[in-house]
Amino acid sequence: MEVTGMNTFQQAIDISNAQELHLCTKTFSKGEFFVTCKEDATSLDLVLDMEENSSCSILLLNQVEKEVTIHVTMNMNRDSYCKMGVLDVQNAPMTWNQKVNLLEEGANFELISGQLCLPNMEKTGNLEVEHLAGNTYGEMKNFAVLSDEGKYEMVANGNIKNGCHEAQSHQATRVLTLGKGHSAKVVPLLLIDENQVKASHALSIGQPDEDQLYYLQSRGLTKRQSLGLLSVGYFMPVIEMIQDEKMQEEVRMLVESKVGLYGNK
Amino acid sequence: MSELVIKNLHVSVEEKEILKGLDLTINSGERHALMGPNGNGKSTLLAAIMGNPKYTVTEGSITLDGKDVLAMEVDERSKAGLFLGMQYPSVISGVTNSDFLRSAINARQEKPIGLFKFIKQMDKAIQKLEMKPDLAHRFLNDGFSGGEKKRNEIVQMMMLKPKFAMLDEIDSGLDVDALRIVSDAINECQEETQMGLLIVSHYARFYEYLKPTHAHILVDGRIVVSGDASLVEKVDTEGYEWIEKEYQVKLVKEDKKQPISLGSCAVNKKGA
Repeated sequence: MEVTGMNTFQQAIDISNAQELHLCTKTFSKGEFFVTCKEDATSLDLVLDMEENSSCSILLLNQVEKEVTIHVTMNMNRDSYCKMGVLDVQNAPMTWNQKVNLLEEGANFELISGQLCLPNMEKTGNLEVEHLAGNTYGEMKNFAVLSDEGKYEMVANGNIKNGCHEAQSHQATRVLTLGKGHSAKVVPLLLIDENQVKASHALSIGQPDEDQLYYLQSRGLTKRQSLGLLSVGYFMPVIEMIQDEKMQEEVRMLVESKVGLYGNK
Repeated sequence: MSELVIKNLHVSVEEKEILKGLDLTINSGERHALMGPNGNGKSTLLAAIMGNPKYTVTEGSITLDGKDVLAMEVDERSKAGLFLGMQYPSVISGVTNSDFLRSAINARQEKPIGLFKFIKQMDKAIQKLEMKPDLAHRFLNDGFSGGEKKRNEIVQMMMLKPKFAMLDEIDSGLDVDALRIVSDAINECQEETQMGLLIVSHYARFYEYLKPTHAHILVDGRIVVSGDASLVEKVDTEGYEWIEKEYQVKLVKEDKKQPISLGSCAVNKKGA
């Protein structure tokens, strides 16, 4: 399937079974892609080509019930801007590979992902933002919440090639672990072959703060609800990317129920 | 009419006994001032009533309208009608004030509160406390000044309408104007709900605003003197030393952490 964004656009795209999707943004266009991997989707091969001076947000919502593999390739030209969100709270494994090519000066890519790893479900990600021109910007923020026996593996690679002056590569990963028996492996990589650059990475993996839990419980929330509320905070940056208020509220309620906010125990 | 009864309460923290047999009864509509030098157990009492897991009750009982509070989880105590305005409220990034408060209100009622009703209530509380209108959308206590955190505790109290509110040095960090604003809000909330109050503060001015009906002095884990508001005045003018003489008790001096010298390293002494 091919979808082209021109002028001002807003495109909702549903993915079923195994599907290839080619998105393109034309010069000086600005808009939003909302891609939903429906219950029966098994794989998605997504290619996004951004022409110069185009701007878009792309939100990838996973609703798959079994298992899904997602490959994303992005080619970003001069002064193009993309903000991408990935929201995955499904009780199903997900393999996600992504390569972003910042081809020309001024290309700017930002990613925020929120993933929930329920018992025995494995979510793996292998992401790379490659800087192939100077004055390019890449930022990856990955958030994950792991419950009992949940598994999360994330390799995030910021790769700045030689000659890419003033390129910036930033990444942060925050993992909240709940319960027992979970496994989190996060590999932040910065491969830098140029001196005149800015780069950073931050990583935190840990249990909820006991004082925070006590504080929430002291206001009447059960332990499960408190953990749920703390977890929702990890998904809000992605949820807030949804422009449509009604849909934002629906997705938010879905996430809240998945993390146990409406549970009583 | 509700009643909070504490009998012979013994509480330890990390094997050290802080409360050593404390008795106290508070009824709806009463305002109890709890005073005492630092380190004698005031905050411990409040935390133990709320169920802070760091505090272990080794003996005694706490009942709320005859129900065993000690058998309740922390959230159950809150839902039963207890509220603790904390001295050091937690900072929780990623959770907005409005999400938090809505969840807290919904946790204590069968039917979720309507959005319009909630916004109205929250706006009223925010206006009363003269806080910035964006409070609802800010993360819980994140980036708040000391005074804002304390006002936010009172916003929560107003929204949750407890049977008994315990305020642990809620006046610290407040400037003169803010102290008046917070006091007015507490008074108004109490008049509306007839909640019982247990107030810990070191400052007579706060008590002047709140007009306690009862006052107690807690020394070395026990209440050694109880009386009316005149006790607050006496402490304000005379301090606590008279208690040692009159009641043959020893004030516990708070352990002050001394700076630790790491010694000198790589220093060339003359002649060495």
